[in-house]
Amino acid sequence: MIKTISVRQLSIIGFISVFALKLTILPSLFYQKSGIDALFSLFFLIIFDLLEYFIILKLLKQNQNKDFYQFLCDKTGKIVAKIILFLLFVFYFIKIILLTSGGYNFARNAIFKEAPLFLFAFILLSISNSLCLFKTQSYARTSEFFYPIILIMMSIFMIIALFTAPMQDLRPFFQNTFSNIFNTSFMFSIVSGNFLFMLFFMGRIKFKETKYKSYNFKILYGCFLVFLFYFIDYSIFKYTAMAHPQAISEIIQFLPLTNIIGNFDWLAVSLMLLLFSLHGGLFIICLSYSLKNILVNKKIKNKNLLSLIIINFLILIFIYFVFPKFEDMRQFVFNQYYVPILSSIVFFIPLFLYIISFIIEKINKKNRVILKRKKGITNINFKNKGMYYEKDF
Amino acid sequence: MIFRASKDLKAKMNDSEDVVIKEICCSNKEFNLIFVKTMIDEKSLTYAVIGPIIDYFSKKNNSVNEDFNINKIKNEVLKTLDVKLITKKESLNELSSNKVLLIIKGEKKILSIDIIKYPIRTPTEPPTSAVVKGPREGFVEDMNTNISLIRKRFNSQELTVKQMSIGKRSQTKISIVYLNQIVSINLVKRIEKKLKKINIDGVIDSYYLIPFLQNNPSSMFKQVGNCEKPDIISAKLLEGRVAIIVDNSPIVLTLPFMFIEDLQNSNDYYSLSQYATYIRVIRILGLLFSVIIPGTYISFRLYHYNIVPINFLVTIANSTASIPLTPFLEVIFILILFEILYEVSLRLPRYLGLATSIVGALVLGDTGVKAGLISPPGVMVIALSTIAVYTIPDQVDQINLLRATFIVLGSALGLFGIIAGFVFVIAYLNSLENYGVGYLAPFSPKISSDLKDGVIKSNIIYMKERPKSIKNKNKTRMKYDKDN
Amino acid sequence: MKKTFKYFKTHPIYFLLFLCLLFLPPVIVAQPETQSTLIVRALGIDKTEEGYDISTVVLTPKSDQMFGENYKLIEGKGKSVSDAIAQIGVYSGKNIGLSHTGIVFVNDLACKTGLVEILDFLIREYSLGNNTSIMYVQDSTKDVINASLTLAKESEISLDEISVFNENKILFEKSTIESVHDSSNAPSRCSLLSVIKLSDENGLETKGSQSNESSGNEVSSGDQTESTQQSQEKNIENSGEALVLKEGKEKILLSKEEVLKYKWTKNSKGINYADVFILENFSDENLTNANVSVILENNKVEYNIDFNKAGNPIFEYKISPTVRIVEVNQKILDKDIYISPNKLSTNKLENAINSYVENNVREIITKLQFENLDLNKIYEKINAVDNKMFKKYLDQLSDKSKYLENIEFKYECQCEIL
Repeated sequence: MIKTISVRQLSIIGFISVFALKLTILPSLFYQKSGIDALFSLFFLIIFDLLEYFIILKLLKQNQNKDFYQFLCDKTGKIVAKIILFLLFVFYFIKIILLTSGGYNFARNAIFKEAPLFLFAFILLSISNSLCLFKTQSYARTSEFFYPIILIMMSIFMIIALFTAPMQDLRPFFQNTFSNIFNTSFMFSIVSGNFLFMLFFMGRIKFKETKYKSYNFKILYGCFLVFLFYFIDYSIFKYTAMAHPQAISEIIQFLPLTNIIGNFDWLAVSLMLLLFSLHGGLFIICLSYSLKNILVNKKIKNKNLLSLIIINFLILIFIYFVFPKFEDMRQFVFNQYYVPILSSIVFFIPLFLYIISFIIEKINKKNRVILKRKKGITNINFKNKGMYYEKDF
Repeated sequence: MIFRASKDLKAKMNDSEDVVIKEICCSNKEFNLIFVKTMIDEKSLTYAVIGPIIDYFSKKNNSVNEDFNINKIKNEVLKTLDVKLITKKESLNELSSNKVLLIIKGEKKILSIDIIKYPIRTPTEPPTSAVVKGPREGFVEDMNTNISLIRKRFNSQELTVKQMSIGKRSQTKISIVYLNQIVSINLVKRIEKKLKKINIDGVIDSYYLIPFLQNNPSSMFKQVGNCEKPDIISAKLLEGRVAIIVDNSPIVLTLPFMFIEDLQNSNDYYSLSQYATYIRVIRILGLLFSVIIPGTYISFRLYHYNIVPINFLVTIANSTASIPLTPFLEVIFILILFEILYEVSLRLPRYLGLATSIVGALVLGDTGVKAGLISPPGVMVIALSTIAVYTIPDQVDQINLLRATFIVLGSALGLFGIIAGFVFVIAYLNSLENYGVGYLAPFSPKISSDLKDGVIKSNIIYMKERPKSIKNKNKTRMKYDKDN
Repeated sequence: MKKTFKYFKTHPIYFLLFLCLLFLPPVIVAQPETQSTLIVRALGIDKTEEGYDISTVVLTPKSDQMFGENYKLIEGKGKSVSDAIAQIGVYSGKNIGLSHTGIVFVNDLACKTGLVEILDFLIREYSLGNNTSIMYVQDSTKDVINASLTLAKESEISLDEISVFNENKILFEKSTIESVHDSSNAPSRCSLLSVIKLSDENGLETKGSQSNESSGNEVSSGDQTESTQQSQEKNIENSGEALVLKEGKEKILLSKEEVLKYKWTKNSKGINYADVFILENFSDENLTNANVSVILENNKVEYNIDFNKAGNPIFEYKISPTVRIVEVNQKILDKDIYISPNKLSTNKLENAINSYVENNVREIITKLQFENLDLNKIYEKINAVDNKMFKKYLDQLSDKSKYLENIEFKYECQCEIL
């Protein structure tokens, strides 16, 4: 397999994907469910995400020469592989619809007042599809290019907000019950699962014998920034967070700098639009990969293009006919149980795969031992395990 | 007597008037010299070829009775450097390559003598790469002179020159120059392979080769480096690049190419590194201004007035209150005016150019605004963007095209269109296959050690290793111990 | 056709650009938004018995005035705020743009009725940021706005800057849409609004050239109504007063002195000549019956929360102001008062300042306690520190809204004289 993505690029994509869907309407939606304790709901989601990240990273290291689909077929068989890919497809499909209509909602209020949905969808889908059509190496390098800009802007924004914004004491916490907090995490689980994209990059990552601590730090820092963002949002709008659906651009309005420099929420809007483009590209890459490998017919020549056409067609149908308003989308995704159940199942896919591959490896080792015993081979040496058998029969 | 072979050769050269056949007869030996009069050094012909032949045979007549041997003429008689024996089949090629052919009666082989001389410009400072400090030599149209300008900077055995001819009718000489101990041989082989595949009528200038060397020939982005200065080429060779010199062209091509090369200027290496860093930042800002500002200006006026700070909004609203043109048309109009002015200033002679620039400035800057056709902010934006284009002169074409694209994107799709366009351009640049080198290296992929000569220009004592973006054999450039 | 399709397939960028060109035709003839939008700079909401009178100050670009701001007053009437604003749009034939609105004025009746209902439109309207200042006007907002137009024309002083000054230097608290909205949701339910009024004597003079004025139901330019004539003769006075709202409704008007007392309970930074206070007839080893003017440089306020045996909260203010002596007026010049400030700062002077501050704070807190106005968000502070004990205390009360009554306040001031 041609390895085109470095671990650094992977961690940068992870850093960027952490912000997906979280910086606009979500704080107000979280708040409506469980008030200030929504911070803990977010915290649990982040912890799940991080656990998932480490499991997936281990899976990637163990299977450096296999494509994800190949890996699934080897470990689980073709049918289960396709089911898993289908689940991931639906998961990312909901994400991209959320991104399109949520992003349109944000952009319409922030800058695009009278622009139709078609304009926003056209731009977002064009850039997302373009990022998919270029190689994944190109997407990884593009993320790497924009990473310093995003990092510096987010960090400066957080530092300025933390030290200058009029923040209130968030205490007391735990005014809601634990079940309420977990319920919120569960209902909003679709916004996490940010590291599942790594599965689709299996076999294309150049793992070298270097320390990865600095790369893990990027992921942790990204999660920390998201948590800090919510903390700042609730500190500034302690009792009115539900009335601020444009979180990031509204926070900027409340910074004392606006009195000096003037309105500079165009910076926040530009940052969000940049993030939308990159997230859209990532989602389309995952969707395209899933659909390509679900499509059975070998006669189809250009599966990539066909899958993109199908995906875009489905997206347009959903945003125009199934969920024409963002409210309908919101009701379906966050207030009903279908989507949280799906995302919970999807969350456990990496763990399931890890366990399966662990069991299969154990079985394979046993079989190898039995085979070698049958052949009468002595000194069965398992690499790095220190197990040593001698012929005694 | 003029030999038949000589007549045939002249006939094959279409009986050109400047193809001359000179008969020499001495000691019953007959010779024919056939050459292109306009392309040889007549003095060398007289004193290094004809003179020695006549002298030799007149001596022979007097004293020495030796067997005649064409090799002896080649080795002992002729006083020129480059002489070789060729067959009749090769004679036409040699003659069309402006060599002097010496046909000896009764001999099957022919002597080909290289005493080419044609008008060569003296190396002067190229107009596109002026420096305040540093060498002012520039390449000329003669390949040998160009090679010598590079070779004099490498007094070692490592500089390798490989030559070939491209062009069915022009047979233009091409040299591939590289440092043997540094460059990756795969790169050289790849380039050679591409050049050998070229099947073209003629190569007039090095730019003819560019589409053949690019992996994405239809892309508007530059994928082959070019330069007119030998010091820059030498520096690039030291980094592991390959230079391609084309005869009759002062522009030398380099491969592989990275975008960062056009951000760098030779001035940066001959001045303070901190100042060089400062200037590079200005260049990047200039690039961003030139490409993005006009489109952003239109999009803010058309769609996003609400995010413009009030002070700017008042000025723009006041200035554009009575303009008859819509924002898009106004910007296009000013842009076209600027482009016309630019084209005119390029083509006109110097004395007329001055008058045109005054008229242009008055028309655009003053009268147009006073007449209410265009607004001062519009003029300001386009003027700033046009000036900023020239912060990176090697990418003027690309920047102009990008600017027009972003104007369309900003007008049609607003701020999101501009951001999406920017992301697209970056993604596209990252997808360009460039002889195994990232186009936007060392930014993406990030190569920390190469960033010492990226936007920030470090002091030369810290640049101990060759750029890792380009595959090369020998990484160490310098060994420097601060304390000693 | 096939060739075109193949070309676009291999060069998708040109396909995308071609699609972008489809969006281009309407853009060629599209006028800038500033021409089709009324950019509102200030908004005045006068609640009347019939409904609402909205006065807007709109920016009118003028080509011969590149750097100057030219304003026009346009009014509209309606049954609700949005209805009245829509009327303005109808009269002017343009869309209303509230994104650059710097200030909103509300009249007396609006505050008495309840500000939150009135501001509902403004809270929902995203383009108008919730950090827009609100100022309370005792009479008609239209008159104040009219007077402010003349002021803006004659000088660079604008009312939204005065409002920001009030928030930062006088009230040390935000007087914005967000603060009113926040207070209606917060347990303490109190907020402050800065006050602006028209006065005959004090304040900024606004006499001069006529302000441009037209109302929605009159043809523009020409007739001036009586009220505008009167407003042109009156001065705009930033009185330093503040209106206290509870649950969005007007409760009491704090006088300038009371506001200055309230300021001691707030953290502040930076020198401000509004923070000058005078110790009268002060005597110590250096001074005799002197009026010492002291300026507040910084003020740091900390709180100590505890509960007594009865379970009632004890709220202690620990105030640490940093002050500087700026002026000493002594009738009998029997000692050399022009000595270095270090020598002037004696223990007696410190104690005098401390007791001055403590008395001021005591007075204002007592008043607020009496009026049951939790301006300092004491509920939130105690709840944050010890949620359980505070709940017990609240459960004890017959009327939970009157939680301030039984809270014991203590005051401690320790000043530092520079």
